[in-house]
Amino acid sequence: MTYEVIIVGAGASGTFAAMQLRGKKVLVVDVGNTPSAGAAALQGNLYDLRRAREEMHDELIGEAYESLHNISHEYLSPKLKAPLLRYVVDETAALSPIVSDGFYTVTSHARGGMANAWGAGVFPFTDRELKGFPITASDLAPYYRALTEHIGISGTTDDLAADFPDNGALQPPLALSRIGTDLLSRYEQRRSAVQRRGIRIGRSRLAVLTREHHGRAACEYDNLEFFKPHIPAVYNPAYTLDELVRDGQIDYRPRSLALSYEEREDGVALRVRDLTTQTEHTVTAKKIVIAAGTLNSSRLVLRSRNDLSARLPLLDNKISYVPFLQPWLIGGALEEKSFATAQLSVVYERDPAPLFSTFYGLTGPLRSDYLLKFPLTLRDNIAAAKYLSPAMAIVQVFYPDVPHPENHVSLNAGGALQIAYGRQEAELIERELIRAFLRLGYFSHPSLCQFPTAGNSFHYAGTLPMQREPGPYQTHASGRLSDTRHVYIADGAALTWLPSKNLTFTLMANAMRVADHVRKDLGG
Amino acid sequence: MSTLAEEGRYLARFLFAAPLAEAVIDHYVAAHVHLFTGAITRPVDVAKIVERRLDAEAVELVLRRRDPMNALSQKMQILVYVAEARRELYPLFVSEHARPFTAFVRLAWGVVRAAYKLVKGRYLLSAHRDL
Ligand SMILES: Cc1cc2nc3c(=O)[nH]c(=O)nc-3n(C[C@H](O)[C@H](O)[C@H](O)COP(=O)(O)OP(=O)(O)OC[C@H]3O[C@@H](n4cnc5c(N)ncnc54)[C@H](O)[C@@H]3O)c2cc1C
Repeated sequence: MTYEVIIVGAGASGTFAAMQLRGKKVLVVDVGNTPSAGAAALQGNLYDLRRAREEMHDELIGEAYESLHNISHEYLSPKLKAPLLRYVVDETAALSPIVSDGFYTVTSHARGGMANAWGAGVFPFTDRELKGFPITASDLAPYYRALTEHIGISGTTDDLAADFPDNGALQPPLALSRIGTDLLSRYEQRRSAVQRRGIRIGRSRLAVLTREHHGRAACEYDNLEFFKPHIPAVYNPAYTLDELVRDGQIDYRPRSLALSYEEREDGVALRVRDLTTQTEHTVTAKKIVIAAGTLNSSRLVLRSRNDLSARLPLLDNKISYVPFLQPWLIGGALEEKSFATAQLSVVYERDPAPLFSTFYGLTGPLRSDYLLKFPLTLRDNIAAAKYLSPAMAIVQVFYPDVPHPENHVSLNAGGALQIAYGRQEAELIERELIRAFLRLGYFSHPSLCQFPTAGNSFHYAGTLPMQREPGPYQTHASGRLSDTRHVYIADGAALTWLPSKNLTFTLMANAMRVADHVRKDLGG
Repeated sequence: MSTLAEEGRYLARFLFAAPLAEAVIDHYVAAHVHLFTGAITRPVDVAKIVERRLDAEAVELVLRRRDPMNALSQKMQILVYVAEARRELYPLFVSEHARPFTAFVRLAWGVVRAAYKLVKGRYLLSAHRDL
C-alpha cells in the first residue's frame, strides 16, 4: 500500500504531525516501547503505599536495581532511572548507538517518546525567542491555541504573562507545595526588590490537569510523578496517538525501526526493520515527515545520504542546579498530597531572550537520590534528609545555545552517531540568583551549584535548522529539507537556535505547522 | 574472608540502629551483580574493613570527601536505597509531623559527630594504608 505520508516517530513531534494530517492516508513508523504491565498496578498515594506495604522494592528500586544506577554509573535523571520508567530509554543503545566524548545523550524509543518522562512544562516561544527563525510567533499562535485546548494546560496570568502569551483558556494552576507557596508569597511581598535584580517569578505552565479534560482525570497529588508512567493528569503524546489509532485516523506500525529513505520522482521509499521478525522491508509514500527526535532524525538523514563527512551543528541547553534552603521550613511535616515536579518558573531578564529556570521542591524523589551529597556521615545524612527535605528546593537553570563549529554530529562507518561537543558557553547567573533569593530568605552558596555534563537537559536541537534561504542540510520554513522535494523535518532538528525556554510545546506546534505545509504540498 | 551477606550486616550497623531484615541483606547481595558490572568505582578493600572491625562510617566519610565513587560509599549507599523502600525503616526517612526543634538538635548533633568521625576516619586510614 502506498501512503500519502509516512511519519517517522511517535513522540511529541511525530504525534502532532500525525494529528494534523488525520484524514490523509498516514502511516506512523515507530519503535514504540510501552510501560510494563506492572506499571498500572501502582495506584494510590506514594506515602500511603510506603506505610502500607512491607516493601516497595519493585516500584522504587527495581528488580534489576535500576534506581541505584547513579551509585556507580554516569548520572541519569531520577525519572529515567525509576524502574517503571526505564522503558522510556530501553533499547536505544543497541538500536540507535551514539558515541560521544563528554556529551551525555538520552534518546527514546517509547510510544510517546521522551515525554513519557517529562516535567510537562509547556512554554510558547515569543518573537524574542524566535529571532533569527524564518517564522514568527504569529505563525505558531494558532497551533499553540489548538494544543492548549487539546492537551489541557494549567497555569495563570501573573508576572510571567509577557513570557507566556495568551493561547486560550487555561485550567486553574496546580495547588502549590508548601515551599512553593512560601517562595511565591515572599516574592509577592518583595517583588520590586527582586525585579530590580532582573528576576520575575510566577506559576509554570504545565500540561497537567487540575480539572477533568477529554476523559482524563485531574491531578490527584499522589507524589508518584517520579515513579509512575501514564499518570492521566500528566499529558503524554501516547494518549493522542492512541486516540488517532483507535479512531482509525492513522496506521501505526510499532516495533519498526526506520533505517533510511530514498527519494524518488513521485515520492519516497523508507527502509524499515521489523524488530519482531528482524526482517527488512520498504514502505512508500508521497511525502515523509521525519520526527524521530533530533538525534535520530539526524542519523536517518545522514544515513540516507550515506554521508560520513557531513558535520551537522548541535544545540543543547546547558543546565545548572542551584540548591536552596529555607530555614523556617526545616523539620516540617511530610506533604503527603503534593505534585512532585516543577510548579514555579523563575525568569531572569536578558538579551536577546530571558533565561528560564524551574523551581522544584523535594517531596518527589527518593531521599537516597540526594542524601550522599550532604557533608555528614551517611547515618547523619539520612536524618538530615528527613528534616531538611521540606525546607529544600532546587532551581534548574537552562541556558540558550547557538551553533558553534566545535559542536556537531556526524555519522561513523559503523552507523553510530558521533557527537563532538567541545564548547558550552554561558554567562552564568547562579550568583545573581543566589543573591536575589537571599532577599526572599532562601540560602545557598555558589560552591553547592551543580553543572551536569553537557547533554543533560535532554533538549537537543538545531542539526537541520530552518533558514530563510536554506543551504545543504538545512530546512525551509515549511519544514522541507533543502535539496529534497518530499522530505520534511518536524522535530527539534529544525530549530534555528535554542532559547532557554523548554522546547517541547514549540516542537508540537511546529510539527503541526509543518504538517499543514505537507498537506498543502499534497494538494490540500 | 567475609561473605557479601556478612559484609552487608556489618556495614548496616553503622547506618541503622536496629538490625536489618534479612530481605535487605538479600537485596544487598543481589544488587552487587547489577551495580558493579561496568561500574565507575575506586576500589576499596571493604573485606579488610570488615575483618578488622573498623569504623566503616568514619572511613566512608573520609573516602567520600576524596571521591564519592569509592566502593565503600557505593556499598553503603546500596543499603540506604534498599532500606528506603522498606516499611519498618520509613520513619527514618520521612517525618510525618512537624518537629523543628528535634530537627535542629539532630542536625547539630550530626555536625559534631561528623567532625569526630572525620578525625577518626583520617586516623584509621593512616593506620591502615592497605585499604
Ligand atoms: C526527564 C525529562 C524531562 C523533560 N521535561 C520537559 C519539560 O518539562 N518541558 C519540555 O518542553 N521538555 C521536556 N523534556 C524534553 C522533551 O521530552 C523532549 O523535548 C520531547 O520529548 C522531544 O519530542 P520528539 O517527539 O521530538 O522526540 P522523542 O520524544 O525523542 O521521540 C522520538 C520518537 O521517535 C521514535 N524513533 C526514534 N528513532 C526511530 C527510528 N529510527 N525509527 C522509528 N522510530 C524511531 C521513538 O520511538 C519515539 O517515538 C524532558 C525530557 C526528559 C527526558
